[in-house]
Amino acid sequence: MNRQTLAEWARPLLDAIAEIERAARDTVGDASMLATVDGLVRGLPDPDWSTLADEMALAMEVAAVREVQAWQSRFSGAIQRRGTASFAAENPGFAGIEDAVKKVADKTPVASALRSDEWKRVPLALRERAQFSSRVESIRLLSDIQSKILARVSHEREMLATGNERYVSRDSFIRDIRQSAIEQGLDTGKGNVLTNIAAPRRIAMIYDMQNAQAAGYARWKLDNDPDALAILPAWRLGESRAKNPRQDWIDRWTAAGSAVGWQGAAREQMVALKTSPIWRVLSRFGTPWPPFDFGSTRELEDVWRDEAERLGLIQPDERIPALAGEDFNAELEASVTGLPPDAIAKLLDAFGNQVEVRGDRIAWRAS
Amino acid sequence: MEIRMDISIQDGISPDIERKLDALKNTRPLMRAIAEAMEQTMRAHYLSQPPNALGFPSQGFWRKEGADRVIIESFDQTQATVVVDSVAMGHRFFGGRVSAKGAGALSIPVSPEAYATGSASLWSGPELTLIPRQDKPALLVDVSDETAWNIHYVLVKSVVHEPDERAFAPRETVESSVHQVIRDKLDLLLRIDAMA
Repeated sequence: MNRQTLAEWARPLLDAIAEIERAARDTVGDASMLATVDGLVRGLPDPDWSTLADEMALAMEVAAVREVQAWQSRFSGAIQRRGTASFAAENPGFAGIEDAVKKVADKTPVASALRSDEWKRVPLALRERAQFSSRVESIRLLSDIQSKILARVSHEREMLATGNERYVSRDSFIRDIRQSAIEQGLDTGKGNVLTNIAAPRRIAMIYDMQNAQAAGYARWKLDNDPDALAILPAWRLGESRAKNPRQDWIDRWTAAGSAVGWQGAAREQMVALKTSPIWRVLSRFGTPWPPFDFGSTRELEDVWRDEAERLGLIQPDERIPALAGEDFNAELEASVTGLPPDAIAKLLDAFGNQVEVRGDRIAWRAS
Repeated sequence: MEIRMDISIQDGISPDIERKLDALKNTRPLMRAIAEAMEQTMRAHYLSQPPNALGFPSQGFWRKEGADRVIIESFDQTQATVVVDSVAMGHRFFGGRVSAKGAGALSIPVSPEAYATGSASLWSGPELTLIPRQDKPALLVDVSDETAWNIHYVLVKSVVHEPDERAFAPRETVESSVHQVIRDKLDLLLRIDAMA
């Protein structure tokens, strides 16, 4: 119903009521005041409601028809759209985030005396498929780490010597890997430092990093999709949650942006298209998904398309295709090809028979 | 046990907006937007929880097992699924008995240092002495200061946790954010759909 029509209809009545209020307020409270008010009440106008009722009935009818049509569409074959939230692990049949599980399961334990900076020079394709840890030469320990991380991401209970089953927690992971390292004589005796594979601090970092990398990969895979990129095309490197944040991220952003010619990346904010090469250059590990450095607490925040347009990262009518190959694995395979002969020789020297060259491809040998 | 919150997109939006959504040729961007709204709201719920009641240094439970574990599992033309990928948070919500399965006893931290450490098996502070007690739980105590022993852990066979409804975001909050994002991003979604 038209609000103005209602106001016009009610105005004489409201004016009369206001006059009654004035009389009661401004007149001395005696019998004459009561007589005045009584007269005004008796003289209250009686606006004709019939035209108004006709209009109101029509408006109500239209609203009712719309409501019925809406409900009809919901229950007569119309598409039901819904968002669902649940606890992953407690719900029957849940097997973890599929891509995160696959990311861990596809790895091969690789023993090596290489330090982390030396591992950085190993081709990404090999690194991403290797279960390794700096200077750890025990296949048994690396297998233990992988099986427990896999149990964690897939929410499978592990069997204990007592015959009981339990989920892998951060605490149980640290305790068990530490025990295994000590039993194998790998404790350097240098205490709770990162260079000691038996140290809780080092083992906790392995747990945190591997879980974060598996989750980061799964999220990257989910969003490497034209429809996801259409509405949320970019990421922002969020604030640090560390007690003592690193101060060099802006410098790293600037260096990475310059290295890729600011392709799909903003200069004034740490925001870039999800398909921008800046992420791989920014990452210490060469991956376009977080974490981008050891112990980094910075997260990637999704950026809506309208903001990405304002930042000039995308044009209003532009569609962003998913990354070439649609499958990062395919790209990883390609990155192995064309290695110079001396690089292949170094890999064979470093990893011995754990690695094999098949034609123009190089891969870990399953143990 | 299962908890599952289904939020119908149609409920809570006007028929006019609903008609516009029905006219979308491709609803996957819409469902990705809805997943985003749900994820952010659920994360914000965990991050808004107060610190532990004991006043001990925070272990970041709500962040580590809550906010950091909210994950968009999938989205398609009709459904967006967001999960809390944490056994610990699930246990917090449902409650229940925890028993010492792999070890002789559960170590319950009762000092700030122990709370920050977690299980007694990860303790790296001063050596702890086991103090057995008649008909009472044993204690792990730092006795290095003879004038003031410091109790760090109580050892028990099992412990029962009460259900804690804070471990899952309230339905109305998540629902409200879903409908808000639809209203806020409707024009953008229509424009994206027209580009296809």
